[in-house]
Amino acid sequence: MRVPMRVLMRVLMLMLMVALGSVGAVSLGAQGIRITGASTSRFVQLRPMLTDSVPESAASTTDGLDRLLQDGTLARCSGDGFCRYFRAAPPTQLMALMQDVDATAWGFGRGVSARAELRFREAFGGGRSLWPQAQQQLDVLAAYVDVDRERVRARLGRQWFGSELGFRNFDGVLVEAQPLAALVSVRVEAYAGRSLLQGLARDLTSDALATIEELPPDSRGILLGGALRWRPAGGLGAVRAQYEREIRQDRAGLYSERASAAATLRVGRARLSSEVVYDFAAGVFNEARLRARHPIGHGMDISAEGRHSAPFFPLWTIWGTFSPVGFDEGLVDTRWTSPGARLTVSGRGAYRRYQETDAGVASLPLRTDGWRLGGSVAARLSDAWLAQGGYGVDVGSTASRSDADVMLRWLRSERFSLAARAAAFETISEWRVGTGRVLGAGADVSIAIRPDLRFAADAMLYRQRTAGRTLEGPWNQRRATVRLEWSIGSDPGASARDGAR
Amino acid sequence: MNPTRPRLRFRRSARGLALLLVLAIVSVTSVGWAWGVATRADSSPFPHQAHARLFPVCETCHEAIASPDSSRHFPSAVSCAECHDGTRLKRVPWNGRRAHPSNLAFAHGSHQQREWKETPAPTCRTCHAVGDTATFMAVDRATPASCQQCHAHRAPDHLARENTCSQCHVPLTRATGLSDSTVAALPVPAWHDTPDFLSEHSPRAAGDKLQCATCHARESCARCHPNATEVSRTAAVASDARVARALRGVAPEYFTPPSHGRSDWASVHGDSAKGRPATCASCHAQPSCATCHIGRGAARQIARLSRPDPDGARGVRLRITPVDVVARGAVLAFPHATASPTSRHTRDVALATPAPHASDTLPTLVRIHPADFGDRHGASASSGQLNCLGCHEERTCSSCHNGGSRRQFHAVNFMSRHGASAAGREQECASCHTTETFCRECHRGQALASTGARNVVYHDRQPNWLQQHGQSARLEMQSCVSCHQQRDCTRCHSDLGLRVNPHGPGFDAARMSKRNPQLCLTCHLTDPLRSRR
Repeated sequence: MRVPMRVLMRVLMLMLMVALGSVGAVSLGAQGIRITGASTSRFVQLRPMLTDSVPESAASTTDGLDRLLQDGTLARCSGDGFCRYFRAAPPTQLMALMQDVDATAWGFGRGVSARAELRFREAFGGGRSLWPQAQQQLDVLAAYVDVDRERVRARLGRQWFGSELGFRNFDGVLVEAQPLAALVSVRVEAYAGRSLLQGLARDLTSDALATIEELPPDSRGILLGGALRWRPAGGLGAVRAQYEREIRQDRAGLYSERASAAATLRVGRARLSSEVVYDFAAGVFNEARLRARHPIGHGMDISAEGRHSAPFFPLWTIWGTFSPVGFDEGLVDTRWTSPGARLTVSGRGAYRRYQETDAGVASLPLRTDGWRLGGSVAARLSDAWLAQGGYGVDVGSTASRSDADVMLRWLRSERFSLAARAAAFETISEWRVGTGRVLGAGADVSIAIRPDLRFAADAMLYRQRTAGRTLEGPWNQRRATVRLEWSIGSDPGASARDGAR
Repeated sequence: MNPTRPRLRFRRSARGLALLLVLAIVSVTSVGWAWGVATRADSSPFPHQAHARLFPVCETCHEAIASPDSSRHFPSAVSCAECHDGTRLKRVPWNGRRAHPSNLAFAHGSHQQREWKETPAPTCRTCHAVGDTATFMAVDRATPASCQQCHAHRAPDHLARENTCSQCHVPLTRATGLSDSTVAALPVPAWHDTPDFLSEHSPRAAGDKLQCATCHARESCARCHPNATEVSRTAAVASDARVARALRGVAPEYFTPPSHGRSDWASVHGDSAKGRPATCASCHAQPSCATCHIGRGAARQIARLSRPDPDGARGVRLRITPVDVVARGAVLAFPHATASPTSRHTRDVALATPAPHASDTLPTLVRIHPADFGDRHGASASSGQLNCLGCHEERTCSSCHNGGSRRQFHAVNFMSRHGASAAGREQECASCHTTETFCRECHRGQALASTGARNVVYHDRQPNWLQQHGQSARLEMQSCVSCHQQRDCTRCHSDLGLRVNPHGPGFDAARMSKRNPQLCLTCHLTDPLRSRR
């Protein structure tokens, strides 16, 4: 697998852009500039599906549109003498490159700074077409000017923020103010701008969506929203309420209208948290969650959660009109930590029941509930050795899985660590790995070469022990990642940059 | 040319070197012996009992015992030489007593001149007699126990906690005659090793300060307290160069207050920092906070702490272990804390054994966030309970929520196991991923996504899928969307298709239409709600 010249050229172009940006920032009078980057190279083996066919005579059953083959594979015989089915294609492999660059320049004036977050990606190899967004080489995730004063903060440009309503990317302005700081700890937020695709920072009408959806949105979106945040004195808790609507740019309607509220409250030693997300268009609560955590002494704490969850779909899709239902779930988890935190043991369990669908046929019922069980152990064997293990099982209506992971890590110093990993998993009721069980083993290493330069790499090897149809093919794969994190430029006051934050 | 000549020359050189080495050893040993003899002679106790018949009273020799000049407390060499002249009696190496450095506040004169009312006036033998006190000149140097005979100590020994040191000792900074080695070898009371000593050692009264000052100087405080020169309580303590030299390189010691052991301490410590900044400043300097607080959060509170003096204490050191090193579900960080009692004062002489800074604390694992925080931080982050930007860079969010997945948020090979998690919405995929683009594009690339072809069957484990798919779609619509386009459904569920109604019994068409009337036209040829408008 050779790195094509065009990839090298694009990497050089990106570096040139960063350099020019730095020079530009300095020439504009920036007091300082800091650039951090993460260069990731990932080797992936994949085994895609393809359509195959056999003569109708090969089907074990002789009538009907859908017939079974000898090994139990269902094939569709559409009357042209052949039955068609999906089977595993030969393995293919690719190398995916991702370069994140964040640049921050400050000192243009009191509290004024500028920030840019760029992501460059490329993939090459036989399976390049299988990698998401391989055609989109550069994303400008953020590029904004930030003004940060005592009571007011404002951002102008391409930006993102996270909230209960999800992670939003938009081109516009965000203002956060604390108008009555002396009286009450209330913050007011307001934002407006052109909405972008989440995580890609591209227009709703761009190719990113149009290539995979025949009925994409035909108008750009305008995002409008606001929030109130109150944090009472004494650390009792905090409350935040938010309202947001996404309007078609042609004003013909809305893409979404939602509101959310989140609160945390400390009652004695217990901590309560709740979230509510409401979709005005569908008239449903996408999330309603109440969670309580309480320490019960001797290093043990327990938490319980009640949750209602229903999916959200924007109004440029028809999915919401199909009356999707949600589920109600109860969850309990507990954790024990030994004195000195040498050993941590945790366990969790959850049960969920779906709402009535008013669909399907009574003679072919689908499972309408699900449950989860799991536990983990983390032991610090010595100052240098850390062991972890975990197991979980998740049984649901359309997919189920059972998996286990173990890891032994050697922390030679704060700068070097080496770990061996093993994993085993089984997916049930799914069509890819089917009845097989996958075992994996590998290692990862992390080296902080300097405070501003860190190298990390991992490699895993997977082997499938099939017990199902041979047509699925063995799901054997190799995966590896090499990552280099670096930073250059001055540091506006931070003294400990060696940890991931 | 004789090849053996160099070897011979080498042997001669070696022999010469060995001889020189032996001579050097002998010389050093001889000088050392001579020095030792001289030193021993200088400090040998006077055989008082051998002179008991010669001198009737102590003052014969210790004539000026009441003088503040301790060099006059002993007889001169001339007095001894009256008898020990080398003829009648052999000469003695006594050259007269030099001033004896001490940190004692005791003065013979004050004990002699004081008016004793309740107890009889002490004599020399009261403090110096050994064994049978009736035997004249059976004496030795006074011990702390001698003082305690009268000074009514209730404590069992000299270094007991109840003792008032200042009764007999001057502050160390005034005992200028003590050498570096003597200062470094000052004994450590056993009660300094009690578990609560570090938390309780703060002097509260003037008497307590004097008590500490017997052995400590400002440098003792500054070893651990980064604000030692700023707080009046410690700044008032005099500085001492000998203590500074003795403590150079000695690691600070910190304890973990009970409040820090709370499971939510990382979240609530800000309130304590605001309310009692001086308490925090006792052990923490600005770098302690800046380990985590890299943003503008808590800037005012942090500014109240001291900037550490390069020669002073840095305060409690916190360390952050990269989250992706310890991986999912593991301990997130192990900052400070120490103070297992056994970790301190492992030798009797604490100050004489500098320890490397690396071993100053016992690393204790402290979770900044609960173990499942990565999965369940939504409410806390959104409500502003945690000022995330106070400790995190913005990349922290985007590395997961923008799909960068820097932190191994998902387990290894989540790509292959994510089906059940996605279907059960264990974590809301849509909070990080646009399901339309992220899921479907990947599924399509691997031929999992629907291409619209109807001559092949994909749901191959469900022979009666057509009858079941409606129920399944309502249960797990997000899973359907990860592969299917809208067109796949409108082939049947639209006016242009088979006109199969997909709406459930509770479907509020007017509600959706009010917000986006064009939505209806995706499937309906005409607006089905026109009559209602």
